[in-house]
Amino acid sequence: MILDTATVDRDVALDADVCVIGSGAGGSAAARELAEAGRSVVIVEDGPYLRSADFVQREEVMYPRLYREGGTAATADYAVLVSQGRVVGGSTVPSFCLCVRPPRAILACWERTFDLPGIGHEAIYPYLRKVEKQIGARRLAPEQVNANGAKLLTGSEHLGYRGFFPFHNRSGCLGAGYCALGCTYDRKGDMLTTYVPAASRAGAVILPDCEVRRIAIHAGRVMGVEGVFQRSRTGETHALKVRAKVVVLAAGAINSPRIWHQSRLPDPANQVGRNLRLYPHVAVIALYPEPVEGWRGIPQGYVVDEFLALDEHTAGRGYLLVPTFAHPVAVASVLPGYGVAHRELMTLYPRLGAIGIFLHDHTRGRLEFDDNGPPSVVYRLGGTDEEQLLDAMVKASEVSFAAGAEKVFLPYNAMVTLEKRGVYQATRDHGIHANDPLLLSYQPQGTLRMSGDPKRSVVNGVGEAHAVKNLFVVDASVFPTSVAVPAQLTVMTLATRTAQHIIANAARYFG
Amino acid sequence: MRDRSAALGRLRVDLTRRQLLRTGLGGVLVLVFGAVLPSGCTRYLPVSRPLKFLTRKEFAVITQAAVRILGLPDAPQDEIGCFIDGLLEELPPTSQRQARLMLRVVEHGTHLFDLKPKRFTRLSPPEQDAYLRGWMESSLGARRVIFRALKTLAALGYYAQPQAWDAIGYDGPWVGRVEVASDLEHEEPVALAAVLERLGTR
Repeated sequence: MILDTATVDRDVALDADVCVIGSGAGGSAAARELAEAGRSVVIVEDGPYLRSADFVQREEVMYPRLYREGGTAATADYAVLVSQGRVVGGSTVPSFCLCVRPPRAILACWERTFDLPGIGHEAIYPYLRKVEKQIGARRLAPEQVNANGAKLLTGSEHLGYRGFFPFHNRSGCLGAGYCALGCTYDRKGDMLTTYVPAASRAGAVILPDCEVRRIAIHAGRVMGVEGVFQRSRTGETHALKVRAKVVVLAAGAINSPRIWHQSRLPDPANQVGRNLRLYPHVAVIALYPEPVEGWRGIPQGYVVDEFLALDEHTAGRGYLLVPTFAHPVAVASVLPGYGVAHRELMTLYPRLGAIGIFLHDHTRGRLEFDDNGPPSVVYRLGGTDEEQLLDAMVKASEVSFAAGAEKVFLPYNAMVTLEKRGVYQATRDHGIHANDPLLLSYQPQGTLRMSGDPKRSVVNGVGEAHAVKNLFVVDASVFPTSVAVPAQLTVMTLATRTAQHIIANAARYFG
Repeated sequence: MRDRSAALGRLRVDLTRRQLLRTGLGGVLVLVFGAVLPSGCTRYLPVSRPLKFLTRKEFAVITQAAVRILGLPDAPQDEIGCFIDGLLEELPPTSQRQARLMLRVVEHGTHLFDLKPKRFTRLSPPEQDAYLRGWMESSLGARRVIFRALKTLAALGYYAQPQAWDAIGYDGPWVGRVEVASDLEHEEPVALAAVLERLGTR
């Protein structure tokens, strides 16, 4: 069942076997597994419970509704906008449905370098398949790719770059193209339409609009969760206390460490909030001679992985190229240029296409905590990542020209235009500076790192805290490195694995 | 005087959060400058509709900046300002505070950054263009950040409105013109009593 928080008129105290913090990819997956195994489960979600009728396909309405801090959260120097879903279903609700399996080399790297036996591809494959089935992830057919995706396909094939049609968790898609604003027609296999209702049917209780303030512990073991309802019938603030034998933390790689810190949980290795990877994203925009209408159809329908060189020891480096596009406000915000030149470019909106870059970053950021608000996200792209990003912008430009682009616009503040194929020096001349280009992060990772070695991590190989018994973490915080691909499927897979571990060891955790 | 104290109080909050400071020396400069600037709006024209969040001064700054940045016709564009006013009202307090600081710094930054005697809203359109381009291309990260924020607000204020869509060939949302029913029956939320009955502390 899902609580209507408008009926809360008093402080609330609940008893459950498990309290899950966060209802996104990790939280919902773990909650469903545990509820279906017969455990009483409470899910506490910071954001509201929205249904398809609430997804009105308007940018100015949906961005503030779906994202933490109204969509304005950023790194401390504002060089990277950090989007975190804040709604029942989490970031899966405004996702583009792109499902990419965790690469074998990355899993092997985690297994070897971070002392995590049992996290290799073969070991996690059954959980992965289970998740893919639950969310309806299937490979897209070539004819499903929209015109913007077809440009990436054409250009990369022309240049001989390796790519693939990815899995998407969508079914009966109408091609309206409003995925990033939540699906009005329930055609996504996001958490809101799959795992959350399944968890609820299995007896889980979902509490939306409730901010977790503290995980309570006693003698090194979790006792429960304390929070505050942000809506109520009385208009007053009412407290929530959940007494639970197991707590599963799944509030995302920015918010989970915040809760950890505010709860004053032990951090003997001083690792909480460290090792942050932002998996930065930026888009190169191209002008084509014919209409592309990139906002229509199925987005992110083709992936170029030619430039992802992964390694079982170092995790490797590189980036993915993925077709990306947006509606007018978002495009106008990132489109370079000023004044009349910007307006004239906007009048060509139907002829614009874009290739997104997802950078497998090695830059290590960190969180600086503030007891009165969200943590400061400190992250300055550096090392070889800058060079990789420049290279990616050049490759994305090259693919755009190979697909027939007349011009390519680099994602800087000022209008930096590439007029013809093969002349990319402007990219290197301009370089990378803080906030220029503006980077986006949809999938922060790594801030409660997983490893078998407690001296360099926060949780062990099944996501259980080294220093607090019965506390598990199941979001992208646990990734030891960037996972190098969109994180959703990996998060759900590892969360399922953690839940199965808890179920298999019920006597230890619930006895 | 009270306005100045309040501004300094806000500055302390922002300094504690260390956000703009991360943008380096420029961030410090912008913060200090913004905190000591006047916030009165007696010299600004009244707005045709009641404002929910912005002052008349802030309204004038964002409206004129939006017109210049987006290259819109020079006619009055009060619709943009009113739209942004409604959006800012919904933002969390921290973001609202930063928006106010930003608009004040842009209005009076002419004195500091361009050594001009006139504030932004008193500049001619070509002067405003030169001034705003200075923010866009500045070597100070803090100024580029503020330009980005202005551009995003401007884009929200103009391109979120259906009147802007014809000119760019965008046909707008399906909602309201294409009827497609969902097959999924979403669960209705329940009252607190039902939750307490299932899991209330015994």
